[in-house]
Amino acid sequence: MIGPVRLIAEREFRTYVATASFWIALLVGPIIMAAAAGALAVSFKAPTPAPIHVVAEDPVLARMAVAALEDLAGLEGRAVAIRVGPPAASPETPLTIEVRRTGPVDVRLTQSGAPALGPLQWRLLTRTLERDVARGALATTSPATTPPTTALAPSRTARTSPEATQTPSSGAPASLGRFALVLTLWMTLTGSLGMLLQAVVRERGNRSLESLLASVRPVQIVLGKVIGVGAVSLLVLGAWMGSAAGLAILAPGVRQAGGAGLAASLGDPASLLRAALIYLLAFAFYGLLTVAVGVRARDAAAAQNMVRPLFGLLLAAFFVALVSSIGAGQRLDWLLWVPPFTPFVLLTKAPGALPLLQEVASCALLLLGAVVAGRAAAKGLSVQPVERRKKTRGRRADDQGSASA
Amino acid sequence: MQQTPPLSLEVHGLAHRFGDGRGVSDVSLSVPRGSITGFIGVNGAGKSTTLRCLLGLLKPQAGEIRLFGAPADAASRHRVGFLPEERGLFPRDRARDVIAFNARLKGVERKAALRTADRLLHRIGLGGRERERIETLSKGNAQRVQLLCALAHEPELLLLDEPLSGLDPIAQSEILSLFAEFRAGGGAILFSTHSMAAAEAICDRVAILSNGRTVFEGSVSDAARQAPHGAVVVTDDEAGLIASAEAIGGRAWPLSTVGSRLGAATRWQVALPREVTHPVLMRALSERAVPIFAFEPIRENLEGAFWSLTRNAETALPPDRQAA
Repeated sequence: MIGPVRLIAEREFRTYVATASFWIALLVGPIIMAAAAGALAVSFKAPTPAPIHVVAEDPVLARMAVAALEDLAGLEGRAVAIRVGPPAASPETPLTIEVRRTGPVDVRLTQSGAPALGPLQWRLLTRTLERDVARGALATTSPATTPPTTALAPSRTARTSPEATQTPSSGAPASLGRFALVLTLWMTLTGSLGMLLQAVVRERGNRSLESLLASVRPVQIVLGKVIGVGAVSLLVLGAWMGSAAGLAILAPGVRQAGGAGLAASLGDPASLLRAALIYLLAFAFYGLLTVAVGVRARDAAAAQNMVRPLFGLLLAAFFVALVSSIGAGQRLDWLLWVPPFTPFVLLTKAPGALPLLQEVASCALLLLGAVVAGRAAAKGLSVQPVERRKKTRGRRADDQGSASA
Repeated sequence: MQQTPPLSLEVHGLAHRFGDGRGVSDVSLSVPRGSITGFIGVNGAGKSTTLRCLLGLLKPQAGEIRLFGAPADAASRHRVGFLPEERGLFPRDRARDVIAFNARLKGVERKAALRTADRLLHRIGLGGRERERIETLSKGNAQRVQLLCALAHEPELLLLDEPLSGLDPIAQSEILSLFAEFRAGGGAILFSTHSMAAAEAICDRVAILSNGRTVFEGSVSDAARQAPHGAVVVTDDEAGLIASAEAIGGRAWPLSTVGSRLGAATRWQVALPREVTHPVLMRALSERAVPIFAFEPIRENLEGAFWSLTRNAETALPPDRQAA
């Protein structure tokens, strides 16, 4: 069983890999990525942190002010260097925030130096600080006293979802990273399914299918082709993902542009294993479905027409993933149970976001879909188009006969 | 007493009908070890369907197939080499690689498969061109490479569907000599062909197929004896021809109408007693001034037998099943 499958897979692999055009096309991706990363690196200039001095009599109040300023900077995506204490005497006075307690829960802020905070920033800073001071006061008077350190920023400990374990500024890159995985899967599938379709039609086109069928079982041919083309895709995927991960780690511009999330996803072995498993199942399902459709075509043109709905489905799955990635796809989560959408929905979810049982059950359903598609492909391969035509003609003749009777 | 060689292939009452009623309904034949059997029939007679049933590509609806003395199964089919009617190779594959690939599919170890490929290519005069791609070979050479694919795993039985079609006479002769070599090594061959000359030249036995049924199976010499003695005459004087034939103890019946500038002429077959020669018929026709547009003696050979047997089988069919 394994021998012929391996031989056919090897041949499929060699058919693509043994051409110069394949290697040129393979290198194009990393070269474009490197060029883009270079452009980003040139245009990306790490901002110099703006110095801010916090002056406060009370150290707790100073820490609260620092935390409020950090939150403000995080929201704005600015880099700041906050120091507690007055600035050293210099010709250019940096921004200095002075905080003074005017009551048990009242504070007064003044700013001097440059660049001064705008009215909106100032209002936000004041409100945040007032809120934290009030919470701190409540915490210290409550019987179940919470430690002062947690009292400084109570709002940060209230989140329990997996997303909340990351800081607000790292949530977007993580989501972008997952979407990059979806995009890569989609690109891999659209590219390799085209190759797979060609591989199936080619056998009929050069009329070598019958001699192959005389030596091996149809299911072995189907598996050999899917594995062979899958190996080609894996090579392409590996080259592209490796380049992307390398650039995400090395190039600061790419890291800022969401590459950090991708690098984090690839750096975590559990996430990587999960993504690999989903990729494998997705490829098996879509690959076998393509073969099942492709073997029923007489030539390349017919095959292209027949698989068009499949590519439409793939496009729909991509949009579902896109909607889910931007956080607007809660209502589409039921598509997890529809095999063509399962891998895309799964990839948009962070590891652990779904109950394990739910993930395993949806993957099992996807696997079942792949098995059904594989059986249909093997059956379709063993029936020659000529025979199928004869059968159809016969049925038509029967229909006409019974109609005339 | 001559010992009958064991049979490599036996087929009894094989049937596989497609939806439109075509296919095979009753095919029986046998191929002894160390022999070549020609499988002859007009297009659509069911030759390819039979071969595909033998290989398990189609499931027979009735009948029995025995390979090497036992019911055919996957293991016994591994000992069979097959050349399909629809031929094709990957254009970018190298000659030796494609032969070795086919051998390896049948379980031959890689190095042995490559050695066999080189040896076979050398045998058919393609030594030194092992690494050439199929797309650079001529059509005839590519077809020979495909035949080698069927031979690469050293099968005991070869099933070949039209192996000579598309080959020039020199290539045909080379292929036939390859068949003879295979037979000398104890192999058995069943090959379908339209070439009566090739079948007569190399076959030990023939199986003639008409409308999905075996109408003759036996030695080539026995087949030749099935040919009727007589001639095919084209004329527009029906009465004169029939009277001439009956006058010398023969009989005539129309084969087909021939439309020509000379008028509505008809093609007739005239059967004669064995002792009446063709010149006697010519003389009888000229005595009655029967206009003769064509006169073709029916030869007592395989071709004559083939036409006679297939015609008889067709006239035995109900009118709706007869060929136009």
